[in-house]
Amino acid sequence: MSSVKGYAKLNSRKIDNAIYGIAYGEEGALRDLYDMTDVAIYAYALTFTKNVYDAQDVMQDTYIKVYDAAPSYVSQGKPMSWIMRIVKNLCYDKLRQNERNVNADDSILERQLFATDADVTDKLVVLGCLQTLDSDECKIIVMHAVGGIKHREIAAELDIPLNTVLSKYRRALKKMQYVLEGGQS
Amino acid sequence: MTNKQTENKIAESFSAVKPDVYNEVASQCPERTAVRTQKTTAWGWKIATFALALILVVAVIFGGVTLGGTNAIAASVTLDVNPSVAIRLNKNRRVISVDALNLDGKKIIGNMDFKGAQLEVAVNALIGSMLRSNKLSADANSVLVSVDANQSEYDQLVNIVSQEINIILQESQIEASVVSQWLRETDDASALAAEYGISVGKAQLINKILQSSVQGKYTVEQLVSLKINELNLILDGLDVPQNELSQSGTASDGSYIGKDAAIAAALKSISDDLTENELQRLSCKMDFDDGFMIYEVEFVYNGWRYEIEVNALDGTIVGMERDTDDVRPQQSTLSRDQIEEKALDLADVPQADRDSVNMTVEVDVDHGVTEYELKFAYNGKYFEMEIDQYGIVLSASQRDIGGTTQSDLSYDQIKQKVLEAVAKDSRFASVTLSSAREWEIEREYKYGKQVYEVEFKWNGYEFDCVLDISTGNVTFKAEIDD
Repeated sequence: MSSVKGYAKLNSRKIDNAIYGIAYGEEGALRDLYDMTDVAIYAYALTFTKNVYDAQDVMQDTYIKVYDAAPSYVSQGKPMSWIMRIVKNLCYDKLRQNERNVNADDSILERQLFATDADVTDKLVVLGCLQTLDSDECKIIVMHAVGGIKHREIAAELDIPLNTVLSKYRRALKKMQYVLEGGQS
Repeated sequence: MTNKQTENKIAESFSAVKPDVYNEVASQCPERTAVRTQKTTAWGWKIATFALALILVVAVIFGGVTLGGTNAIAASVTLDVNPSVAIRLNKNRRVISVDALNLDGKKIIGNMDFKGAQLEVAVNALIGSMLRSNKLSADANSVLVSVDANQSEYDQLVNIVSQEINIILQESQIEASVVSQWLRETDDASALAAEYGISVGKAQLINKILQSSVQGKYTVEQLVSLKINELNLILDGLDVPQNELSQSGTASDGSYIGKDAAIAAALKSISDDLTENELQRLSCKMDFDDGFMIYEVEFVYNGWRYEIEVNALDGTIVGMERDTDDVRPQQSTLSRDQIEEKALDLADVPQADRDSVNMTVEVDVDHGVTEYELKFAYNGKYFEMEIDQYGIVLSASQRDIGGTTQSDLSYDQIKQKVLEAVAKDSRFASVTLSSAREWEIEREYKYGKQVYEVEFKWNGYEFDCVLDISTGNVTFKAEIDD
């Protein structure tokens, strides 16, 4: 299994440095950014597209957008929020192109996920997250647990009150604990 | 499984299923040569230095500029209020030029010609013009003075300019507040200034505020939009090293409700008849939060430490935190009973009534420390507290339960009331406590009412119910549980 760059391990300063590095043409900067953010970007894209291949396309396009935007990037200390906004916009584009809404047939996602090489538990956890949680809960848990984004920033990004974010987060965690303890997926 | 473990497992699982698209990305992102201007390479500096030297040599030869003479810029003083102007000085502190750094600055300078004037005269005229155009007033009395000069000259220039500003404002019965700093044109400040069209001095001040505050508290966009007086009000609450900048006078909060009104609003939010005499360690400082200027009122009352945020414009309460005013005791672990007693102490529940309090307790382990989440109602109030195994109160809140003073319902009573209501629907007539499963009960404040949100599953159905605490009414919806 590849290393996990999940909860609270994403360091804003390092991500900022990587983005500036890309702007300056520093060798290895793009790789650094990719290694730090790929899981969060892919997971967040999945919460919108519910489709493995679309999420993969969005992931690829996100890095190209970041690369293009890097020279004019101004750090506000929240690079993941900035990147997640790019992901969200690309997902909306993708959904519009496909004329498909977020409630696409869940069985497609199941088949796509089960075609990957990952451990079956991991597939069930991802499915549980995408199918058991409601749309906001899923985004909130991915942004915080995988993207390391603070609840306060999530509230601003999703335009919902901080208290709602916190209660949805707690509820989502409870549901996921149930999934993890073998309740259901 | 703890919350932390759950979070880690979710991150780990997404990591396991993610694809690797790095090669595709890299093939579309060719390495570029540096395109940002903030970083200058060593070679860049050498070329720039050489070019500057060449210009100076040419200037000397053709006599346009005499090095160290009366036309050479020896220092510059930038005045920022919202209008921003820069005064360039020769070594005799005579004005070479006054340049506007923004549109307002242009209006302030107007047709005035300062060439050859003394620094004091220029400052007097410029500050006078700002007063006349109401850019400086009793409600906005702050001036940022940024000086670009050698260190010995810096102190003297700051003195001259500050004194002049004080004299002029005093004539209008205004007490000035001058923030002065030694200007260092760093890459960061220059880029910020260029990007937002502000002076390098203001950019440097914003950078200092960002460096001295909790990371992520302010954004550049927010601070750029503020006037110097508002930045000065924020500076009051920060710990900026004295060698970085100095402040004289007090920034005016005349555009806002004022500290007294903020304290009064904060006290009223706790109790109508609470007075300052009953408080300890009262402090009130101005801050900026989520796009609003606020007063942060802190005090200790009745063993609790309060932090209340008051909107500085209209006195509404925008945030409140309450914590016990104790320090972490010796690391002795308390029993669950002791934790419950502590919660009841905090809620002022008399010993005689304690047995009748129905308390729900959830236990979680965070970083190896057991945390108790306690919820209970007493005397018309609903309490929620988080207390760790050492007795430290991590959070506590209380709110009025609309109209009722009865004790909280037990989980079994809630389930029973909900089932009674559900069973009235003929489809679910046979539902029983023992056959219903996967209960989730949460107390919420919704639509102005205290309610229990109850979920459970029964016979292939999933039920979402709301129990209104004051009326006992239950509404529910049932969906096929797939």
